[in-house]
Amino acid sequence: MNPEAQEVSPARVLASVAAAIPAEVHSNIIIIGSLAAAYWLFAGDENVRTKDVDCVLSPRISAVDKGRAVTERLRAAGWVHKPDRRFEPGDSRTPVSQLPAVRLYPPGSREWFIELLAEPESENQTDLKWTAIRLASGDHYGLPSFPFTGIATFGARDTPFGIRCAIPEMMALASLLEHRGFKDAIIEDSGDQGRPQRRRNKDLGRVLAIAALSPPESIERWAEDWAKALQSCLPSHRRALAASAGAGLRRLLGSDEDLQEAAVICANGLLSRQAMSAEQLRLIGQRVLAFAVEPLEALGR
Amino acid sequence: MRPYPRQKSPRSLSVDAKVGRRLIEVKTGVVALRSVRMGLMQLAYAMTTRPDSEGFLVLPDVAVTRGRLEREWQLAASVLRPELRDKLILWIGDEGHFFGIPRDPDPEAQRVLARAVEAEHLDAGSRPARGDASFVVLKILLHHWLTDGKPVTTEWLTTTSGYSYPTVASVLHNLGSLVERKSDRRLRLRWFSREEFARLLAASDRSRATARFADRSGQSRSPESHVRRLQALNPKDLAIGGVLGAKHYDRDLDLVGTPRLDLSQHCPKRPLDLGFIEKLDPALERVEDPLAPATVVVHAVHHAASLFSPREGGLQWADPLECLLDLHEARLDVQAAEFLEFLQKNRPATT
Repeated sequence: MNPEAQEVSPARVLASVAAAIPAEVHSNIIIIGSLAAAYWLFAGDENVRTKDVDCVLSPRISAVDKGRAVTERLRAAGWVHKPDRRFEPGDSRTPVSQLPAVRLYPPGSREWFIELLAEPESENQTDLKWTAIRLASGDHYGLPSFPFTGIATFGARDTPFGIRCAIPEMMALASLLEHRGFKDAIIEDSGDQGRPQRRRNKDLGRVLAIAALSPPESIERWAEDWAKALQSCLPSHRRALAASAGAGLRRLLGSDEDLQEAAVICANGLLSRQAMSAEQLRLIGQRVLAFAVEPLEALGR
Repeated sequence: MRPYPRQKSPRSLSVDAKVGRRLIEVKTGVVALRSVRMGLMQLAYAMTTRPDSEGFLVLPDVAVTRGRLEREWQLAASVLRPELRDKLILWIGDEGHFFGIPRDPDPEAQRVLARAVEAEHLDAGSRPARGDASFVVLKILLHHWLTDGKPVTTEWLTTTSGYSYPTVASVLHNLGSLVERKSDRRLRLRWFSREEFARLLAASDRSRATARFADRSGQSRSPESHVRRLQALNPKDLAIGGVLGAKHYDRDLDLVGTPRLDLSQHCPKRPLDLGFIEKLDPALERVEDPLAPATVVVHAVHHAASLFSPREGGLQWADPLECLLDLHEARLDVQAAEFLEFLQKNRPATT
């Protein structure tokens, strides 16, 4: 059973994570996902519903070493492995694709857990890729990297806690790129109350939530910033990616069922304090297309 | 171009053009999905009588987003027979480029469609302009009285209004002794007639073809942010009126904040072209109820000379009388009275 997402204070969670992680690794940690979005969009004074704190180890080249240091420090401090229904920590014989991710609960709490990720190996990485982390104890974990995680962390900004948080518009671009194909992958453990939720609807819904919570005129500046991120992170593919960036979002806005699911997920996440109907989200999505995606697509043509 | 699809008899299943096996329906100025839906059904009906035909619904200047059009297509495709669905194409104009839904037509068909669009534009341009001659001529006279005051010739009035000499003469005749005629045949209003201005106000909504838009996203953008986006989009023939325009002329106008954005579009030989609204903000939806709150309001300026003035930063300023009508239309009567007093007080001295 997957626990419900709890309301947490972004600033408090960031402070907890920063306090637990070795100071020398702080500069290598970038928080992405709902918590990072909430930290910037709520200006730190409003809670957000989330259960995972995604920590990207950056840069890629040191991710395994830093990931090992973080994992060993947290485990030594009493952080506990979040049980994975499929895998326990592996050993040297475990295939890397079957290693569990580093998902650790803080001592005495099950409100949220951190998960470690890495940026992609290169701009030619097209799928999820796992890299093994071997701890001194002999336990092995896997460090997942997604093709567009480097986009999500592009331009991440410092926080007073010493670790950085990804900026919302870059996480939005990463989600747009990730879900151009509008694939049917489901979110594990999300089917307790009916149909399993689609990963695309969660991530593209977050794009809409970010847009809804962003200052109204900021969306019109996204295309320019997105183009810089593509140029920096994925220079060889930037034109093709820019030209197709809106494909998944358009399909979401064209599907009542998927948009409704996205609205429900948003209402239990970033928009829990500001519920919006599916129709309102559709209009927000059309703004994102007109104000940001179409200018980016034009740059790609 | 026409703003709305022409009204056809409900029993009419005809389309705009038949070129070989291609049936073409061109709808200009479409602002609502129901027009798209109607066009698709119209084509589908026509195609059932010609089994080998292909149908093209051409929307050269549609004010509906691509996403909504694609969704409408999916809905239509789900109810159409496959043999019809597979031969129907939406051909959408977007700033000089066209794209197809669900696919682009072949190059030969694209050439045929381009000619059909051109023919439609020529046809639309030859139709008489909308607007009300008495409204336009009186508005110009009042505007001139407030901003210049010197007598003008009837020829100047015909040139400025775009109406013929007999039409202008008829309007002047109906104004009776309010028109002061000089010995050299030039003329002007004797005074600012509140009765005639009230008549102007009463006809304003219809004569200016006012179109109102409200935010449906729950996250309304400010008039100032709309203006900034319009400056970037820079649509042709558009001027800022309403509160912002009045404040441009009278910086001391007693009004805190800007309740809505009033825009004036110069369209002397055509109806309003509202295609820019979708690009301005897709969350804007047209509201028909004149009492419903609106965030963006567009008015047609039908006289031949726009009377717009240049604006720093792009776009233009609507003329003061246009702004005055906007204030009344927005029910800002106190500010309208104050603005009128300002205009009267500051009108150039004449002998």
